[in-house]
Amino acid sequence: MSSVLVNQQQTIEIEDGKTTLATLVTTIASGDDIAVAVNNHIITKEKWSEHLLCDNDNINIFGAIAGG
Amino acid sequence: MLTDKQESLNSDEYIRYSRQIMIEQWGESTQISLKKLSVIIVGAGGLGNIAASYLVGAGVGYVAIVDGDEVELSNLPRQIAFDIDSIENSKAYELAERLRSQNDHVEVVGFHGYITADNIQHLIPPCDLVIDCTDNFEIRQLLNRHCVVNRIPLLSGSVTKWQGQLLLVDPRQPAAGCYRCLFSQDQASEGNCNTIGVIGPMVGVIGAFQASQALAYLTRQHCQLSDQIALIDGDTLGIKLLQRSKNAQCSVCHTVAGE
Repeated sequence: MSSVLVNQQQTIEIEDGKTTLATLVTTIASGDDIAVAVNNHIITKEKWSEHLLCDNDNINIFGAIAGG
Repeated sequence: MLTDKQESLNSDEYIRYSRQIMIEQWGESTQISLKKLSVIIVGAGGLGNIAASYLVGAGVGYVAIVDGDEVELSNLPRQIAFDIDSIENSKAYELAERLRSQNDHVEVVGFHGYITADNIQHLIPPCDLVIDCTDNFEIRQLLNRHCVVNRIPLLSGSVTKWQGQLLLVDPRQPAAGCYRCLFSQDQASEGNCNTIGVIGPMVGVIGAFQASQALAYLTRQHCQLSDQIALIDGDTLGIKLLQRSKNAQCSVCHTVAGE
């Protein structure tokens, strides 16, 4: 089985070349207020449903912070 | 805005800026060019305190400070330009006064008031760089739209708990997108220092990064943050740089592209 690493902490099983980023995000994050990077490149929201994940992809999911 | 500046350094300026002039890539010419630049810092809290102090110290010609807050007791652990006598005074005026005493070669102006859609054109005129040190999403999005539309570089910094974020919205790098490309207009109102807290030194770390990246951008017209976002974790000492790109559905970038 293939997997991706999320935020350097969590290993999630995927189907290599078949699981979309949108599916992964829906599975592990809530709300729309997040940004996602795959292998250090931000994938903008409109591309989540077409971006296919690969084995060993490194995923960063983060939200905006506003403090100053 | 910036009044005419001399094309040379006097002896006092030579001594004052000697430690950065001696850097090979900096030199006298860069120092003189810095005198002709103007920066507007929005937010005179923790980030603004630090970023403004280093930019005024470095000799940026004109620095404006915009903030509508007054100093509160809970600000003092991390807003180091203020002390107990500052409480209830305007942050913008207090910080501007402090900065003028730090370096009288720099024109420093304080504006006491909050940025709104109605006054942003007046408070943020064309300049060389806007530095976002604010504490809420609404003003961050407003600043982003204004700067993108008017092609003003915007250096955004934010901090809560042990985490910080930094990015530059660079009109020379439209393919990297803007703040709105990353974060939606309807961000939750939570997520600032007042609601979830902040570690004082983290404000210093992020504010100092803002100042150093501002100087890099002002003197080289490019910096690492022009097409990346930095995620900084002060607890683990981790810095993650992520490549940014424009969101094809971004309403702000779409507005500019459609002009």
